[in-house]
Amino acid sequence: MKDSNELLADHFERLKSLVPDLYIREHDRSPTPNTDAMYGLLKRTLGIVEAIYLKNANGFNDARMEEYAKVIQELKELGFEYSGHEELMDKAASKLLMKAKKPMKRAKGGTEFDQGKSDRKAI
Amino acid sequence: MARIVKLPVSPPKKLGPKKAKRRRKPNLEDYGQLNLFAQPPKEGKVVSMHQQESFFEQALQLDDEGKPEAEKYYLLAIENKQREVDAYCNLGIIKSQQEDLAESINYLTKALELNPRHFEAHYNLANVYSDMGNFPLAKTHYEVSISIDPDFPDSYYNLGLVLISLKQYERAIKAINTYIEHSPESDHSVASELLKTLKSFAL
Repeated sequence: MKDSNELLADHFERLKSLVPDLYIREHDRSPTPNTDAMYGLLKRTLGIVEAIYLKNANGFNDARMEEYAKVIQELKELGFEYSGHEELMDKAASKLLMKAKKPMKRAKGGTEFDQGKSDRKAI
Repeated sequence: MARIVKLPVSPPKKLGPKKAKRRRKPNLEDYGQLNLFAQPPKEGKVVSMHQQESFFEQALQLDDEGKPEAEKYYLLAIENKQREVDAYCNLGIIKSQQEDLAESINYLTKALELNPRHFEAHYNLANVYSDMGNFPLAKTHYEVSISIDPDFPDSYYNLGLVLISLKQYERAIKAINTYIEHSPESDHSVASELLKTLKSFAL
């Protein structure tokens, strides 16, 4: 069974093949009468994604948020304006930001004092 | 008339302290023995005796090598009361790497139960909370870790990222600046870029 992230990734891949004009770089793009229609289609698709998020925010995992944020980023790079759902964008931005955080620190076994075993009763 | 007879008396030996004198080494071969130790070997080999490592040390080594058996050895260390706090803390890291965040929190809080001022446990717990998107709790634990060890630069960097997520940009700038003060110059480039972006947000 396919993972939900893979399904979403496949969805965006299909979208790319359906609306290739939206996915070519702005300077390469030759204006076509269908561009606006394609943009409208993509906006509606993103709207569906946002509706899924609003219905079940907890079920919307990190990978989906990132994918959503990347699509919007790519749209901006292509010269389109789409601000996206604010809360979802914020969460996606935080997830991406926290990916850059410094790693965990392993405890290497210090002295007994560090272990909190140094407390002795005064006799 | 009585005759005085002189007894043959040897002069008395001098008593008192005795100096240690260097004696001439006897040639063993004169006594029919092989002189095995006359020429020491050119390259002496130091052989260390096998030392019994603790379960914790073994776990740490396996963990460094990225071996999954580390988990088993940390649990054995806990069972045998060897560095329990550190073992719980490191189990928390392993569980977080396995994306079992609930179990990771369980182990890290067990470490804090035994030592509420365990620096690594607070810092790692903050990392787990930031992975979960619980930024207020992550912020608290980074702050506690800083109060325990104010010289560890990574706490400031991660706190800065959490503060950005909480949209507290000015405090984030402060934290990233402190990270730059405490970290080596080679780590400054990313932080400086982040600062530039942050300043444009804060203004």
